[in-house]
Amino acid sequence: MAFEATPGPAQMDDIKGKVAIVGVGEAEHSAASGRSLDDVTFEAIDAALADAGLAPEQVDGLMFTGGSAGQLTVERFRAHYGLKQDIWGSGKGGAFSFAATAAYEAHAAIASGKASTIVNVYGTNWASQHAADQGGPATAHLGEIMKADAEVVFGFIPQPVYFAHVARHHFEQYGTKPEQLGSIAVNLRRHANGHRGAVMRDKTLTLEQYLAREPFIDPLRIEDCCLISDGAGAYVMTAADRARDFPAHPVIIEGVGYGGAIEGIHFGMEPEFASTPHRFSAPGAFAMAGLTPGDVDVLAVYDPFTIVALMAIEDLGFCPKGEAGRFVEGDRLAFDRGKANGGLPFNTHGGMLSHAYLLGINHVVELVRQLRREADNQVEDANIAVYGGYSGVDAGTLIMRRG
Amino acid sequence: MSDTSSLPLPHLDDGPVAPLWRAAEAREFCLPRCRKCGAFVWYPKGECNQCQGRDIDWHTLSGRGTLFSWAVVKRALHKPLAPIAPYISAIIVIEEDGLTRFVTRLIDCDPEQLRSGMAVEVRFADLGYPAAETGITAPLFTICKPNERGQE
Repeated sequence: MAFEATPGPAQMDDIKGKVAIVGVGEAEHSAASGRSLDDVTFEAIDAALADAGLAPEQVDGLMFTGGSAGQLTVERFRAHYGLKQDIWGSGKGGAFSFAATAAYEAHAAIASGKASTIVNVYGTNWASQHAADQGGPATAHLGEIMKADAEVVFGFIPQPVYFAHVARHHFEQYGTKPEQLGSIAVNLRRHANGHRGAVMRDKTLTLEQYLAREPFIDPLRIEDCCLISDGAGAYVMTAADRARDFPAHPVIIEGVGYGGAIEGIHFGMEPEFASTPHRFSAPGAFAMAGLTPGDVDVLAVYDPFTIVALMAIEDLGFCPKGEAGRFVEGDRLAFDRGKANGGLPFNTHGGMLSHAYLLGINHVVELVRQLRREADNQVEDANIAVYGGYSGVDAGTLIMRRG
Repeated sequence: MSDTSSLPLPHLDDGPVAPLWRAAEAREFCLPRCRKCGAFVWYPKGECNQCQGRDIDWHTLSGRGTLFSWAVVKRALHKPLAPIAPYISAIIVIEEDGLTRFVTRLIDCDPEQLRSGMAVEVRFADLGYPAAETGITAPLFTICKPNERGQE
């Protein structure tokens, strides 16, 4: 059942309509808080279980990002709640592209009887680690020999430098402009200003303020870069035919897709430099769901930088390649413009740029709330939602429907 | 001259990229190339991406190419790089193969004048140039002046 994580699109079996998300929860997200990773992680799990009306004793599956340092394990989960039951565990969950493909792995576990009630969780305290100089997003890259000897020594590190190059290339190739990146930053900030859980809820941003800011890694401004946060999110998956047994309105998984970048973490060598592997993951997910981008009411995309959000919109198929700069101008991405008015409500919680840097798990939580019609920035008549997960080396697409 | 003791340095004696640095010391710009089919294999791998040949050696290049992309790093987020900031991080395409890119820095040029596709050429300089000396020679690049280009 498991798909292979190789470059290009992955072959995935049809799981349309088979899995539901029946509970979501988040920790209180913040800048450096001094909290431990387990502390924020369990806060999110507690919230998700309460939302689903479940006790920890009823959980028999746990998914997390195995490759991300310090993530929760089945052993710590069991110890924390004092559990005795068998628990199926998978490291192919959590955030990034996995926040999309976790549903696929969950279905395999449910279909084979390994688990029935699965918590998918991701937490981070990178804000606190970064403040204490103990690590951060670039740590894993510094130790890789090719990057160390052929990139870092030339100053090609960390991620804002890579994506400044990508933005520049997009500018040169397609005529994209700084104010178009700014439009993404400004729309997402407005969403965060209306969202109770957003780290940037009290800080406004206008396009004039954005443009007045001097680029620090030219062409990127600080506002083009995501936050670094402490926080966590979790959601609970079951078989779709059990979804009505839970208190909240069910959300059904309609499509999943996956695609790998060609050159992995050597971003500078990627053949399609101003593209993301969303171009590999989206077609399969839309085909599985029997939908097109034009059917989507609300989109949430892993947005480490405004340029990645912009490329994702193109690569997921919401506009032709190279045209997202013009596409995102004005209020197209605003939650309250809506599909009926030519809009594409986008990262309605504020995304990683302005809600919290939780690597995408918070995006799925937000979309579930949108489809339940209980979001802070509620999109009118939200029936179909898409999450575009990403990690730099791969992408996952998740299509969800209001049940 | 600022303190460059923090600057990250390459492995000169071992590792897959060491031949690049040893060549730079001799003021040559070399990249690995498949002896069977002639394809460049950058970054170094055990086998050729094109023909899967395993006979790969380091080939001396002209040192010319074109500018692919760049970023002006005014503030180094990776603190050990602070001594060389501000600097122009760059990716170039080598003259010998339009699909092979090389990550480097641009030196001695005005960032306001840069455009994709501009002709560039190698400048062997200290890795810490212009801020300081590390003792390691690096293949840095600069923009070709139109008249210099015309004389070639």
